[in-house]
Amino acid sequence: MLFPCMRASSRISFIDDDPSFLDAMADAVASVRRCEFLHHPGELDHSYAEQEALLRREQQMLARVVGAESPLAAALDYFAWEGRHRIFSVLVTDQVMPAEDGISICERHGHFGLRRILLTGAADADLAVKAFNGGAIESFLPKQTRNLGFNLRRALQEQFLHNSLERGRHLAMQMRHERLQALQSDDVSNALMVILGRGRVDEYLVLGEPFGVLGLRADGRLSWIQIETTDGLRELADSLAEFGWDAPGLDRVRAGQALPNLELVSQLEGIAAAIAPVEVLSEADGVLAAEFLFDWPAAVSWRALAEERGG
Amino acid sequence: MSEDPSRASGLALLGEPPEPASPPNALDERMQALAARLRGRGFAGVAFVRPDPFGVAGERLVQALSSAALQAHAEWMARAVPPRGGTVERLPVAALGEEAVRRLGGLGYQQLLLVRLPLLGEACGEFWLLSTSAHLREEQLGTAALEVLGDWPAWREALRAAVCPLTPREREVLRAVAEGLKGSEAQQRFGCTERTFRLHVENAKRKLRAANGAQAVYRAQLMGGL
Repeated sequence: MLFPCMRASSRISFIDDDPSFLDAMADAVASVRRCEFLHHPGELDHSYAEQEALLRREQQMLARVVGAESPLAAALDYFAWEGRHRIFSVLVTDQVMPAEDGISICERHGHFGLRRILLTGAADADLAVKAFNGGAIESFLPKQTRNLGFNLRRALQEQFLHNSLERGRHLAMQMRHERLQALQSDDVSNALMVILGRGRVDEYLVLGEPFGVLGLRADGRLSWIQIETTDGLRELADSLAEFGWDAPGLDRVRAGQALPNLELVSQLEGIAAAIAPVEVLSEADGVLAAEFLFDWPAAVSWRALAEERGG
Repeated sequence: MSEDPSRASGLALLGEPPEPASPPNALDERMQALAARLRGRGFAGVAFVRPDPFGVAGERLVQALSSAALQAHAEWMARAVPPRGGTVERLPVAALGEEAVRRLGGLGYQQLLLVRLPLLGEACGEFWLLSTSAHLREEQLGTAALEVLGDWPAWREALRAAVCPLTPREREVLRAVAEGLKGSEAQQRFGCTERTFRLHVENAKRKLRAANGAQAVYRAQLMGGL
């Protein structure tokens, strides 16, 4: 499977008229991303109005990442844009509520990439299947189950991934063939997931030119995972020779043990030349990477926003 | 290439771009030589005004002056826009307005021979040739203008060396950008990979604080050209 080219900021809304059940769900997803818990569908309508504008803006910004002359700078502009945190990614709603039933809410709120999960009682199973087949919902979960927490987290994860794939579609579509090939390797996918997990990367974008993953970590720092293929290494040697790069550690670069942050330095202001140790993503496919951490004060994470609101 | 200090160290080249703003009198020596020749033709004062590559279109900077006396009026000259005319134009100082009479007239200047040499579009390098005489002969005007025109290619080269932070390779690559060359075609022309080509373009853009290639080309042109 292709490594997902985007992990988007998520905004997950839960609607249930039963406060105790909402609390239970809140406990179950306590550590998962950004969630809000609503007692009434009207509260959702209120904040839904701006979604189309936000999505349009997001697509424009991502198109710039793909088409820009300086994709890294465009990607950082995206991370500096707070609006992305307001985009609904997953909607979880109860079916039976006095004001409006869940399927009707889902039908009213279908936009590009929004994933809808319906929570059903024993009596609504047929309705849910019909809604699913009709395209009104993407998933449904029975409420009466012993491990609702686990099922809910799994469903969210799955729907959330779909949402990211949809929103980041352009990133993959514009990528050069050999880059896509590298991203299709299971070894590469797994190794990248490990690196992203290690740094607690909340959101990321995969760039094709320069090739790599730009992520925003839980600690607010930026992570640039520069990916090189064996062919790329030859080009890299060529570039280094041309620039007369003489940063310490050049020997290690020549020996294939480290990579230089050439593009990072040339595209962004204030980044110092550096090398980082090579991590082999896939021996068989000849794909390597090196991770460079840097600070970019303009980037806003949802954690920072949440803290601001809390404080 | 060896006179370019930024090539001496790869780190300097990639890490910190030299500050594009130049010392104001980098072209002083050249100016003194030109001023000496023009003095013999009846022009006691010379100023070189150039477009500001980082300013709003039309904004100008005074780059070099023949005398310290003119220095006091440098800021005003950068703001004063002489009436739009031909490449070579003779104007009484009064044609530039009351402030010109007060400032330049105060130094004894009565006539201005303005030579405008295009850098890009409307943007020109301007030579202000100032004379204390109210009656200059056609032949004096002509030879003075020829003096400036003849000096322009070397002058422009010196301007570039003084104010343009790009390496020869980066200029070459930006020329290719201006031509509309694609990365793959650049590979053939420069014998480097597409990646190297892009890195050069990015370095040039960063040094010129340009948002895109077009702006980089524009700014480099105003700094004496590619």
